[in-house]
Amino acid sequence: MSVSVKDVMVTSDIKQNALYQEEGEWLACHECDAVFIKQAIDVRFDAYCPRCGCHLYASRPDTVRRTLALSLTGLILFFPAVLLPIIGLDVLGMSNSATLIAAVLALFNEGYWWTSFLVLACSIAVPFIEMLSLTLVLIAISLDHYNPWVKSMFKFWHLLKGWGMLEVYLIGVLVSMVKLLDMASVHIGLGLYAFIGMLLMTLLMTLSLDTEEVWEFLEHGIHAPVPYEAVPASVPTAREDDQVITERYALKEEGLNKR
Amino acid sequence: MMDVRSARSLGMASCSLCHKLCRFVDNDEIAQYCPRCGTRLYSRYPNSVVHTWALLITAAICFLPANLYPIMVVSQLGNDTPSTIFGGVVALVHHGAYGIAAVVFIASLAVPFLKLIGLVILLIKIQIGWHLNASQCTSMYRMIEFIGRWSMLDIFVIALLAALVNLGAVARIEAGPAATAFGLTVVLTMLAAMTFDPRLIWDKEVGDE
Repeated sequence: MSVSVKDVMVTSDIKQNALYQEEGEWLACHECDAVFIKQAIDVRFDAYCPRCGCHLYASRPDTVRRTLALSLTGLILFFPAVLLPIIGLDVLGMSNSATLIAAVLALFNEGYWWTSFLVLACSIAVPFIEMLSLTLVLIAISLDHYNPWVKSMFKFWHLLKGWGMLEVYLIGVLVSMVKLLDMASVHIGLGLYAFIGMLLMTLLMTLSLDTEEVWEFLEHGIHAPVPYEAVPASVPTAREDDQVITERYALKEEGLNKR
Repeated sequence: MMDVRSARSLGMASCSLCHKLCRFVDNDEIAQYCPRCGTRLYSRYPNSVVHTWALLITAAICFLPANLYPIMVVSQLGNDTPSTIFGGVVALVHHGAYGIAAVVFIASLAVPFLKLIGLVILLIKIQIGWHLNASQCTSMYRMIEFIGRWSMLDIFVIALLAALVNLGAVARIEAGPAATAFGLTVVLTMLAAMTFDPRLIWDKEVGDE
């Protein structure tokens, strides 16, 4: 492995020179690998792959601020949802109620530590870490604060995506209520309302978040992406804007070499 | 026929994490990274088919104890009645809760089984070049990825019931040994769907190169 990354970049530049010019505007479907030229779409619209129908990208109005508001609300609702009882039970004069944490502990105390870990991850830990990491990323973006950890945190959020299962849990609550109905009287706890609120916030977050815009923001530090490849490396009379862009390009090269 | 070229044939690869399209030299020996997020770039996930087979076979093995052992033990006034997943569905039908019975049946029996079958079909299509409509295969894959999480329903129900029905000798619900096996089945099939690379479905379809 004597070939460094930079050498590879240079050789491929020569080979794909025509493509290289417009690279920032191209995208490939991540489910069928078809290449398209990225088209601007209206706000609130979604772009789908014409070949396989995969969701490619979306345009969301004011994505950073809206998602931040939703994720902060979700974080506030998280604590009552986890700590307050979600369902209660009355049978023969005895009553009992269960919180999200009690459900995890019940399995753990019976010795099913792996299953209890799974329930803990899917119903409490992943949704919380998802909301927290997204909130921190969006706060950093709205404050124009750049740090390598912002990118790492957004990467982390991408990795966790798909493991939070609040909507499945809600159906689970309904199923257990129906199962208990003939045995005892079941009542809804205050925690369930907070839980439904948190679930709604996470669903609205996925609807209002435009990940592409966040990535472009993290990459360029501006809302409109500037294809840095389009700028020639040596501009005879470099304007101020161009210099900024070439500087960014240089920074990226540096980062690549470090790896 | 639409004029479509794959990123691979154009010397590019889209980042598996942030979906940025990057220049890519098709050589596994050279580690190349996404300039935007720093994830290692692959034109196709390495050994995707083998990894998916391994996870699928493990999931299929776990699916047997998950259905044969009791997933839940209900003890009422000293009587222990263990019930399997299928037994739980039958009990719900007897209570007349057909809707909930259907939800539980679909989530904990039909979905894991159909996921296994679906992914096996996709893997066989890729390995022996079986002529199936690539568009429909991708839709199936997308469906498998989407519904996988719903199998966790039964695990959540057991956790809730075990926490809630804990009234000493009067009534108790405890998890059974099938819970661990079932949890493993769900996680392994989800991982199998994640390691499977849907772009492999389309590789034979692209007419270029």
